[in-house]
Amino acid sequence: MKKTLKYLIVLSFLSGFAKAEFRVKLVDDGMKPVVNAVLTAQQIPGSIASADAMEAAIMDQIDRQFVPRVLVVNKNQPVLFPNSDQVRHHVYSFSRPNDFEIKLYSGVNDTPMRFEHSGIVVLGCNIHDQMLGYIYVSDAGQSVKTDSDGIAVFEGEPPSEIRVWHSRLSATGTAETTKELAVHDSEGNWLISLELTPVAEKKSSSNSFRSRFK
Amino acid sequence: MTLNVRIFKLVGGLVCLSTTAILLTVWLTTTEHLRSQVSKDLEVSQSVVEQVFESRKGLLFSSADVLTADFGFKQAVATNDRPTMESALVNHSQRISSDLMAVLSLEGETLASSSNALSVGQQFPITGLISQTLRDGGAIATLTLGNSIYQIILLTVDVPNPIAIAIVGFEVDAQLIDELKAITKLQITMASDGMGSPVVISSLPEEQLEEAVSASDMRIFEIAPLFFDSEAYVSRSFYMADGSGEVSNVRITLSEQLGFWFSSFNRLLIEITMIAVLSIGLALILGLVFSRNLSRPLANLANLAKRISIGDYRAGQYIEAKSREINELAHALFGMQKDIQEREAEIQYQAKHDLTTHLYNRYEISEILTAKLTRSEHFQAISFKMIGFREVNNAFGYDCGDACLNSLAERIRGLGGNAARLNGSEILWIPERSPDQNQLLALKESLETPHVLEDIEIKLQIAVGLVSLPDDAEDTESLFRHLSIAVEQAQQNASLLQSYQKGMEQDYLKRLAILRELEEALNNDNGELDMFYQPKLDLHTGKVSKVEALIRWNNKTLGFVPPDLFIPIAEKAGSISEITQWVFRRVVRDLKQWEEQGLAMTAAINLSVHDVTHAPLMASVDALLREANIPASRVEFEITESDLMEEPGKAIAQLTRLRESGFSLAIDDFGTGYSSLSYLKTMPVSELKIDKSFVLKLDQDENDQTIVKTIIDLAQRFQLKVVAEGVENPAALNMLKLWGCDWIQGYHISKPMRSDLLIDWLAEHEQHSWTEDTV
Repeated sequence: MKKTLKYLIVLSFLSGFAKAEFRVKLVDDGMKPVVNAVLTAQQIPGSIASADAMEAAIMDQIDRQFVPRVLVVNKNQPVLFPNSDQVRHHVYSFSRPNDFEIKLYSGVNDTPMRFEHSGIVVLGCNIHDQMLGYIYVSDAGQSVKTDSDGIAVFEGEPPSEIRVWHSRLSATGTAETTKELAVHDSEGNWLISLELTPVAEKKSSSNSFRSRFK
Repeated sequence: MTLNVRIFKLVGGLVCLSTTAILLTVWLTTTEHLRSQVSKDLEVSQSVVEQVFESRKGLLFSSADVLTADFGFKQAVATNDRPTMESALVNHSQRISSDLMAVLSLEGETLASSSNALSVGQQFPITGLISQTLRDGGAIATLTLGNSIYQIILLTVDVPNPIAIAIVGFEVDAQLIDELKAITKLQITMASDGMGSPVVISSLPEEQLEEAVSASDMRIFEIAPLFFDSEAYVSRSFYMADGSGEVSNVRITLSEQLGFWFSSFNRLLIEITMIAVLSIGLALILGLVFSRNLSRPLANLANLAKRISIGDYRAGQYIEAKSREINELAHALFGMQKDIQEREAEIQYQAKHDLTTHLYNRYEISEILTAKLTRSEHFQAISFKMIGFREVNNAFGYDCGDACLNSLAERIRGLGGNAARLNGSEILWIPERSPDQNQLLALKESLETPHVLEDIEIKLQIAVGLVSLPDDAEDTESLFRHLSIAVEQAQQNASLLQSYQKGMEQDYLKRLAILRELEEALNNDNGELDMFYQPKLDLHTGKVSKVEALIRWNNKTLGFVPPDLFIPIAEKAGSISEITQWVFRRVVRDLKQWEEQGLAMTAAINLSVHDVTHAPLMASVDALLREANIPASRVEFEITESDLMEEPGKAIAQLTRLRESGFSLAIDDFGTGYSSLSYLKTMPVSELKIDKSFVLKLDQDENDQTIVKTIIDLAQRFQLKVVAEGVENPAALNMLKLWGCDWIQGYHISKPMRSDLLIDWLAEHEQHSWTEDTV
């Protein structure tokens, strides 16, 4: 903890000297950090547009899971779907209009996908029902995924409000919401509290409805 | 309460008590058993029903799972391709014969359906079920949709996140109810409540439905259905929910008919009751038999005791009882009967008999006589009276007296008829055949035949009185009285025999009146009694120097009563001494008065033999004379010849003592008493008085002259003075003087007169020459 604190102090110190940046921390009802959420800040004054950086993003499949679970890409950025498992996968998405299907394959799929529309693309595997992944297609501004501490770091001056996405905001996992940046926590981060549905997280747990019959 | 009722009550009560206890125990045990049985039955059945529904859940799930896992179906849902969705639904529903398949949006709107229960565009009625499905990924529910009940499963259509909800369901219909009924053997009812229109499906007939469903499983404890309602149900209701949030608005009710369970119990109940009734009946019979064995001999004995109490001693018929105690009682009772009988006989005997003679007593003979008199029988009552019974008692003792009486009674008993001892020595005899006078005399003689008692021989004199009936008395009382009069009279007769005659009672009563009046005259000295004196003329001197004192009684009611009448009565009544005493006092007084007037007169007093033998009486005259200072020579005593002859020995002894005291003694009425001449020489007398019957007609009757002459001659030879009584004319006087008679007395000289008149008479006749009249 002390180490972290020191690190944070160094970071803030550095930022003061380099470019302007702000940090937003996402917590749930229980004040626990929310991981794998995507925050989007639009029209940040002085921000540098990163849309030009179009290097290929990777949504790998390891041990019958999508890795990473949440991938943030820009519109039209190429996304590769390598398969690190020995089994085949049948990756699909019904998230219109970015719906697609990559039928039974193994190894690296050479053909990258390009998502032309911004939005949430929910990924599934027709063979392995428990596999679930999300690709956030960002259209403008900065979209940053929260880290393990629930913190996202933005460059530039903080706007008045910010868009928030998380898979547990709705049953379908596609809902997005807008939150005001109004409060700080004790460490100087903007603090955003989020109400999450428990549904999606339980889907693969042993308590789920389906498991009673399997 | 009779014995058999008591026994019946006891045994019957015990049987009733034990039966009730058995019934109660059986009821409690059975009820408890049934309760657990039915409870278990219902519980097991519920499990069975739940299991059936559970297995259907599995079927539903696999069907729904297959459906929602189908990529094509997913694609159709994702693209909201309704025709494709519906064709897929129909396809799957045919596979498992499901009755309902539908796709809902996540908001609950029906997107596609294979059944009319959910139409497209219709909102799913239970929103909670949608949210549950979204939360858990699926849900199971039993609910009403439209007019039917469905068991449904809801599963999310995942891509992989849920985009819709698929529903697969079975209708709960009559067929299922019948199957469940067949498995559980119970009545099954399914009823929806709460949401939508109520739907009821049941295996029960409609009329029983409400009651059966509303019945709780606590009814087993109630008695009413047990006895009165064979159609009663016990029900158990539950919702099809497994605790994992399953939703159901359908209540399942399992109804069990108690009749089935209680039929065996009721049979047991009836059997026990029948056994109880039989036992009571048996108890009744046994009680009857037992109590008859006990109470019949007791009743017999009670009858026997009653009979004894009213004096019926005929031995009762007694059948030996089975119990020893009763037999002992019976024997005791019979013993008592015998004892009482004997004692009563003894008492009866004593009540009717005289215990000395063992003849009847007065009371009993009265009964017999009354009976005879009532029947107006002709019979005789004869009384035998021992004369001198008291003397026998005195001389030989009472034992001897009783023995004598017994001996006499024995002889009388031997005569037949009825005999009774009346009192003292008097025995009454009622002969069977009336004897005539001669037979009676012979009978008397035979009874007087000396009685030999141990070593002494006693000769009895028996007076016999006789009463003839029904003429002589009208009742027993008068009979006894007349008999007593007759026997008393008999004692006066030489024959000692007397039949009762009419008028005897009047005489008797008159004698009683005389006695009563005499008693009064003596006690009060009221002047009724008086002394008269008749002068005696000394033929040698021609002077009167002696008088005979004669008692006179003039009663106010009876008039003049001659001494001949009242003296014997007084003698018999035992009051003669008092008269004599009175005479003594009067004569001594008169002698004293005469002496005071210068008249030295000698008075002769008549004594009875009773007086003579009464020593104190004779001593009293001595005392009186000494008191009056008059010498004993101035008093003479006259005793009749017959009196003397009655008890010569005793009389002589007494007379000798009197003579020694200085008194002169004369034998009165000489010549009538058949006296033995030999006594004359031993008699301490100085005078003979010739009875007046020889003197009254002396001048006319030569026989009398001979007798008188002989007596005078005899007296002179014995050197006794002679007095002639009844001289009524000078001829007799002269004859007597000529023959040498010493004294004369009679009307020719003077009648008896009072003492005051005697003085005058003496003065008057002082110079009268009696003998010269005849010359």
